[in-house]
Amino acid sequence: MTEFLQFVVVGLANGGVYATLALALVLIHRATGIVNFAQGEMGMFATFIAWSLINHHGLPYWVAFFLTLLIAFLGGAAVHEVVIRPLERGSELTVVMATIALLVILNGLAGWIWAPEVKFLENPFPLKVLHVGGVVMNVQDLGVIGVSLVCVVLVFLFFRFTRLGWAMWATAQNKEAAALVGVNVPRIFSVAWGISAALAAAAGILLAPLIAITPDMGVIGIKGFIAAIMGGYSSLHGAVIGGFLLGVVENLAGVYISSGFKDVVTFGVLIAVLILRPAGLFGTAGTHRV
Amino acid sequence: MRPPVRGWNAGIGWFLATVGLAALLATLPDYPRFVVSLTLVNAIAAMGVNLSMGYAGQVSVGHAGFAAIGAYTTAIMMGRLGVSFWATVPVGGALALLCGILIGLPALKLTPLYIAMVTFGFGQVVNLVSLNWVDLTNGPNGLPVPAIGLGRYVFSPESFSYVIAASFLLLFWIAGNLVRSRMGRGFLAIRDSEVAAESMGVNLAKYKTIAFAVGAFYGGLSGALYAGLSNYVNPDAFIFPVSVLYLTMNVVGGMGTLAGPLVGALIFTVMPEVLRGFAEYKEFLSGGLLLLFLVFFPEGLVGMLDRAAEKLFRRSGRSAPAGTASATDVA
Repeated sequence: MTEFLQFVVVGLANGGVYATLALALVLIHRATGIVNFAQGEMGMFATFIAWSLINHHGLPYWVAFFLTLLIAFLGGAAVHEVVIRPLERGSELTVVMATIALLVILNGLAGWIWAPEVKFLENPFPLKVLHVGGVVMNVQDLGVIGVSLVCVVLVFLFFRFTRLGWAMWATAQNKEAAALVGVNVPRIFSVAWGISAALAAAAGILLAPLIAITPDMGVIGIKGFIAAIMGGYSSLHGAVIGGFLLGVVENLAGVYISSGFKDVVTFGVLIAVLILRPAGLFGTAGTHRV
Repeated sequence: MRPPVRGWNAGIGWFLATVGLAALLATLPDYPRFVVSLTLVNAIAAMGVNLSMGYAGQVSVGHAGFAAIGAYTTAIMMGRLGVSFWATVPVGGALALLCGILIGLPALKLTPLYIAMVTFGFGQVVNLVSLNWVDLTNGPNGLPVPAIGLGRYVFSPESFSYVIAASFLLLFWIAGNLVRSRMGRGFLAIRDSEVAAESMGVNLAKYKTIAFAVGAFYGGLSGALYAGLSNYVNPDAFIFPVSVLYLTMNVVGGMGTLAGPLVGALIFTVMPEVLRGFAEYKEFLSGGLLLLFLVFFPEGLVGMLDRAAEKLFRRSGRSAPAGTASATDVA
């Protein structure tokens, strides 16, 4: 039983990363109605920036962390202004294909700038273990869970207590009505892209000490994607719960079934949810009457 | 859209295309001939994407999954069961078609964004299974494909290139007839407006399912031919970027035009060979081209040519919107 709980905690740490990414995806979807296939690559790119800030510019870890989040925010808003906004008059599919193009470009660009050798990011948390009632927990895992929870809470507070958050909520409900009452809709969309990029950056940097930094670490976006779908793709709390759930399920499947088929299990979950319950656990959207 | 070319003109066109392709394959040295064969194989998969997405509006971002099913079916049936290549091709195509139907069924009630996710997930699952089901697929090491024969005759890379060329011409001809048929008009109607299509009596469930199935079938056949061409099948040949590449071929070549996928396949198969020294920038370049065409030239190269030709000749008083065929034009 204690062994089982240990695996759950490790799963929750991965889950925190997935939850943050899922939240980023759902945020863009709620605000602007599209699916961003480049989310994971945006996180990957930001992680490389954080690495450069720490290793080339000698910044302390947490300074680099917040600076990267700021850069990611500006970058995300710029992506919306330059790439997405000109396409918004076209069909949804055009925008989705543009995000796929963005995925390929960011991946290529990162490989180009940061060369092929593998990079590592230092671990900001002490390498210690805590014993809680017989369960051994890594401080690092707890740190990842903690930081991702802080990100989640900040996003919820933003929606609950700021004017901008309310405006974004209103825009998600009804774009035309929001514009009528004076909301600057394009700016709201840019802010949504910015926050979403910053969340992806946080997820990437949190993940970095657990794996190596390579241009291909962007595939982690797929996990955020599955988590978001499990949660219903339109529900913020659904995305967070989906993320933690996916982390735990995946880790348990890896331990108790087979580590090779771990990913097959997660994608099996994805297809099953999409076919049987496209609205996810908490969502309402996704299907339409034919 | 210009009226379809029929009768003598069409016959002469097909004759010239066949002779020209055969002459090209006969005169080219080994490596360029391989590149031409690969172009045609890629074009078949891209035509599949075009039939589902360009004509019927059903997005596919996991088409490499269908190609993988065709390729692995051929490799496994030939290598493990000793079945002739010619018998494995239709089986691979049929299995891909079946998967297309299975994906198409739930997609009937999903919005386009969710269909994108389903097809994406499908491509990932196929790739993961091919990586991890080591007993069947030999995992990341891949499977060799035995020599292809017919009776006593054993095909050389050169003679097999004629098989590929013939398959391509046949599939191109089928696609051309399909999109001009009643079914093709139904596809276009669904793409342009589902509600309008249904109110005009187009059976949405049937046509959408067929659109997925046909696109998947082309993907499967492309994979089987790829297995024969490369003599080797591994999971790396069917990763997500390959699906993106099929999409890019269509966008750059011209989505919803018959020649678009071929033009796109030509560009994106030959380009990496010519730009050998630029291998690091290859991805960046194809992503950049995809974005460039989406933003500035959404009708693609063939669509732009079509429009330019129309302006030049002014055959009919009106011009087709966005350079591609629309339901009202064809009907």
